[in-house]
Amino acid sequence: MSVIDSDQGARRVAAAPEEVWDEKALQSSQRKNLLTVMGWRAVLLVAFVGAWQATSGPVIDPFYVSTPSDIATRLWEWLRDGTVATHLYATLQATLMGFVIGGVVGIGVGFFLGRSPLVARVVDPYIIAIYSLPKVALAPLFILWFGIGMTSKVVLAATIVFFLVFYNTYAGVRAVDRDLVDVVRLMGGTRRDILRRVVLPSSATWIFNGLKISVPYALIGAVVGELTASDRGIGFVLKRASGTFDTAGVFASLVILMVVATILNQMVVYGERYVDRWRSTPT
Amino acid sequence: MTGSSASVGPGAATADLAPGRPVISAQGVSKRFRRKDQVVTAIKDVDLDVSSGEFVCIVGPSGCGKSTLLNMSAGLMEPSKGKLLFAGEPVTGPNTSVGYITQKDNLMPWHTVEGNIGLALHIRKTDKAKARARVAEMIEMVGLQGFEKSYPGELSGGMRKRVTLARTLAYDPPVLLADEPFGALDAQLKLVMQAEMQRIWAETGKTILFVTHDISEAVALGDRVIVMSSRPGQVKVDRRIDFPRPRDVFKIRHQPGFADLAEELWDILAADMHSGEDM
Ligand SMILES: Nc1ncnc2c1ncn2[C@@H]1O[C@H](COP(=O)(O)OP(=O)(O)OP(=O)(O)O)[C@@H](O)[C@H]1O
Ligand SMILES: [Mg+2]
Repeated sequence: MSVIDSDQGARRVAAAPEEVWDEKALQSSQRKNLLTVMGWRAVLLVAFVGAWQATSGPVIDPFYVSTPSDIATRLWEWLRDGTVATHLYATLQATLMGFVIGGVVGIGVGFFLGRSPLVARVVDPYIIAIYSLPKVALAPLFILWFGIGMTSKVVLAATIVFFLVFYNTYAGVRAVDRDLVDVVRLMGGTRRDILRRVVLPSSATWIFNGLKISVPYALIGAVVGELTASDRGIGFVLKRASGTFDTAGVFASLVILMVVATILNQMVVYGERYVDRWRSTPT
Repeated sequence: MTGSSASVGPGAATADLAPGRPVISAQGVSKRFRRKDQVVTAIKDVDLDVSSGEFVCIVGPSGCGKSTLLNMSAGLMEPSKGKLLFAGEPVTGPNTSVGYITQKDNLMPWHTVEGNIGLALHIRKTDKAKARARVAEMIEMVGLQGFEKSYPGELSGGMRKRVTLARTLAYDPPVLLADEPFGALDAQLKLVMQAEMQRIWAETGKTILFVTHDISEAVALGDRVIVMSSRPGQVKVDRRIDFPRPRDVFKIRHQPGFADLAEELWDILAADMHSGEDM
């Protein structure tokens, strides 16, 4: 090691602490903020549950609000005897299948109509008419057609998802820049090239957005189907509890749905991050 | 979109482009646009022949239909009246024999500079290694080394214009339509690109139809300069430029006769200038 080398080394060491110190201060203040937020959240939760527990009985009739301890007990029972596993599995299966089927068909039809303006103009009023119909109102019809089993739930979830995804895909395909299509055509591109090189990448953001907003709706479709008529699923459990005036059971079902919906939404957030990362790197 | 076998449409890359024959031939071409309840006549009774291997520059007031003429030559629009022939055949669909550097840089925002420049090569299924080498060559030609992985959104207007130029030259189309390709460049870079354009033209024997706002650019580059009138655009003057080739674009402005010629064309153009502006 030469003298000059060590001299440079020393200078580097001398310069370093200042930067590192800055960053550390920033990090620790961020961590402190996070801790404060988390702390207050915990306090809020404990206070709410505590108040619920304390007032149920002396102040409010437990028939209406049950108690947190009863709900927890019920959840624990259901977890142990397999109620949650069986029925949650049924609900999630209907949700997932509805999401996939509705999504795939929605993207397909969206693309087809987006690329065939004449057909799109012909069917436009009918699509708007069906689109404006509250889709959950179709539940009784689907039960009539497909029975009280899984199929009617899948169809209901798929129908709701279909319209959301279809509409977004269609809008995305319509928004494609004509000039970019012309670029590819002048280069001798085929219809497939246009689809692959322009339409698909340009509408990808729209399609993903459609899929994203559909996730919670797929769950809604499945649960509404189960509430209408079924022999399985969390919606069924919820309805059965309500029918037997089992308030703790009703709340326990709602807690399960809340947890599932939160997890699904969180998955969408992560999925979005993943897709964004993919979008920002070259193909 | 499906043209008959006799007309120019997709897959017509083998059109007859023998030197000296007319490549683009406008015969009494007019174009009208309908905007709401108002009809705009962009160009009126334009006659223009561009021969194979010729470098033709068009100048004209804004809105006189220069881009419209190029759009029709590319087969992206049809004339409302008259005939527009390419290599002797009517243009009925996207003309794949032309490379079109449009006025607006129509780059794919989801592709990098590299991806954009290689687009036509990928579409035409050029061998991967060859395509890569060609893209690198083009990037160097337009001076965008170091920006290979950038997205169009991260580039300046002049840089995007250069990517468009590189993308079009990359697949070596026999005919070039260029709509103000150097308009967004600074004076120095503009001269460099003009020299490059002239070199490519001389080496490849391409036919070039070149729209510009810059009269000295038109005179420096063109075999002919077409001056159009204000809207409805008509050919006002079709002037042959006889400066010997190859021309030194850096110095030609000081050559005897250049200033006079530019001034003469400028006077013709200026007579129409303000009446034709879209306001
Ligand atoms: N697709 C279109 N629809 C309606 N009007 C159009 C269309 N394209 C061009 N025009 C009109 O035709 C006229 C000529 O337009 P064009 O773009 O060809 O002019 P230009 O000579 O290229 O002008 P500039 O020098 O400003 O680019 C303008 O009045 C324009 O508004
Ligand atoms: Mg123009």
